[in-house]
Amino acid sequence: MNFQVSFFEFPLNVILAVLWCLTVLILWKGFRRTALVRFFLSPLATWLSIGLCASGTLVLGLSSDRNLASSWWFVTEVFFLLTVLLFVTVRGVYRDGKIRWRFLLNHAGLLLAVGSSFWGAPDTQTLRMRLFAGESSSACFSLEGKGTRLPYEITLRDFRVDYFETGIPSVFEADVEIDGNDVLLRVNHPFSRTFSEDIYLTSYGIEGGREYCILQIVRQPWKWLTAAGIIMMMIAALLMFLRGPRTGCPSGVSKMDVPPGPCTAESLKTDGK
Amino acid sequence: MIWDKFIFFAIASVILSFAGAAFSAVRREGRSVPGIGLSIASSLVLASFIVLLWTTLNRPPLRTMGETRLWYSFFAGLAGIFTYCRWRYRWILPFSAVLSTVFIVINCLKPEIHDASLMPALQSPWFIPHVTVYMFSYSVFGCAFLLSLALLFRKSGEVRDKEIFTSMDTLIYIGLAFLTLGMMSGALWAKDAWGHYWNWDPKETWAALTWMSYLLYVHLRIFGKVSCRTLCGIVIFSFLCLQMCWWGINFLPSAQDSIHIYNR
Repeated sequence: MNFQVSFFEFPLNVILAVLWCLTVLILWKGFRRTALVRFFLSPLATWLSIGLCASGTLVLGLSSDRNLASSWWFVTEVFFLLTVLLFVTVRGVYRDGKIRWRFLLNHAGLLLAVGSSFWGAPDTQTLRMRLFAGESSSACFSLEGKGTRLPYEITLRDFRVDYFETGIPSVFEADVEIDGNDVLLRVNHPFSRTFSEDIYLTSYGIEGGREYCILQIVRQPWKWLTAAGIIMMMIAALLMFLRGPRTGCPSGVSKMDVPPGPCTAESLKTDGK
Repeated sequence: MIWDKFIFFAIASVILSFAGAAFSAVRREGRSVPGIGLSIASSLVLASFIVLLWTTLNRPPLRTMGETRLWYSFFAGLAGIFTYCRWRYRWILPFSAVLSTVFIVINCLKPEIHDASLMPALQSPWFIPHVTVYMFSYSVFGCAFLLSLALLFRKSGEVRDKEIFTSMDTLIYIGLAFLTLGMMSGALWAKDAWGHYWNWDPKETWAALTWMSYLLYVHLRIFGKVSCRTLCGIVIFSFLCLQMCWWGINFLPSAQDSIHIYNR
């Protein structure tokens, strides 16, 4: 059974995301000694959330069904991971006297990147349009095959494909008019029509002796948050490389939360022997 | 064909790297300058072949399996030199020499020489940084994988084991940092090329699994007293996932519609 993503379209997703954040903050502020909060902040919850997501990803990797990524169980695993991540990030912010940049960038970056993709999924729209050379249209289709119309027209004036000797395309570009703007579309060079909408040149073909292009229109209002999270994670990765493995207790974790002695020579002596 | 000349570069590089490894292995304290010098010379030999290949093909040699293996051999050597200079582990240069040689030999036997074309999707400023940081992380994880095998199958000695675990932690942190950079730069590139940061394409799925698996190792090491066999098992599993992501998915029936088909 797949999750009905479209049911959570704006503004419901924003309301739920805000409520989720508030709930975690309230629980952290007022009920941090309860079993529930202690569980979410425990190492077990961290291992469990990563392990569950990894298991789900393994199933996805072995299966040919891409829709499994929106199955209820995988969505639940990701939501659990995000909740643990939010608790851990909040603890890192509130309990440290000084800001631990690597910890914050790593955790808050992942939270922002995955969280914005998760909560923003209902608002993400991918539409495709087939245009013959010299033709104008506003009609397009969703990936599920549902027809719709854009509030503007796109005209394909011309397009060029050059090939290597091997037959592989070397250059693939199209001159289009989008909403009155003359645009050169190329692979890797989309046109940003608005803050949340980008138009891509994705494919081409021939039908009845006439050449056509496939354009893709992607509406993704949350994309900037995802990009911010990705950049934060990249900075954190650089810090991780420069500073190497961490030692001692993780940010904001009390000594009681940490079982003594990680896998050092002492534990080598006792386990598995 | 330029690949016909590779055998000469390969022989020179392997001899130099093993000579450097021998110097570092026999040195009891501090860094072995001849060891570092010979290892750098070995990497320079591979680097010069990469430059030659690059100029001959008129494109970055980062597309085919043979080309990525070449970078892997190169970065395995560099990762070994860096780790040796930074932490002075005597065993790391021999390890990286073996690792680099394995991929050099595979390339000599099966170079998979492809054409000089670079399809439009790969014509992006992200192409070189994305693939090179990935290859570097793969090389570092390769060293960590060998260490986990050493821990599992050698006679345990407390001090040596502790030293090996410390080294494995360092390598996994470095590898994870570069894997994250590779994945994140790939996500930004994917948004430019295909419209979405993440598509759950088989290649991306296996990359995510590899990343999560190493992340689990890091968190187990930070927090808990976990069996060393479990930790080594996770490192081995992670490395297997990495192999699936790199070339294994080409043989996976469920991955035949992957959009990352250019390195087959």
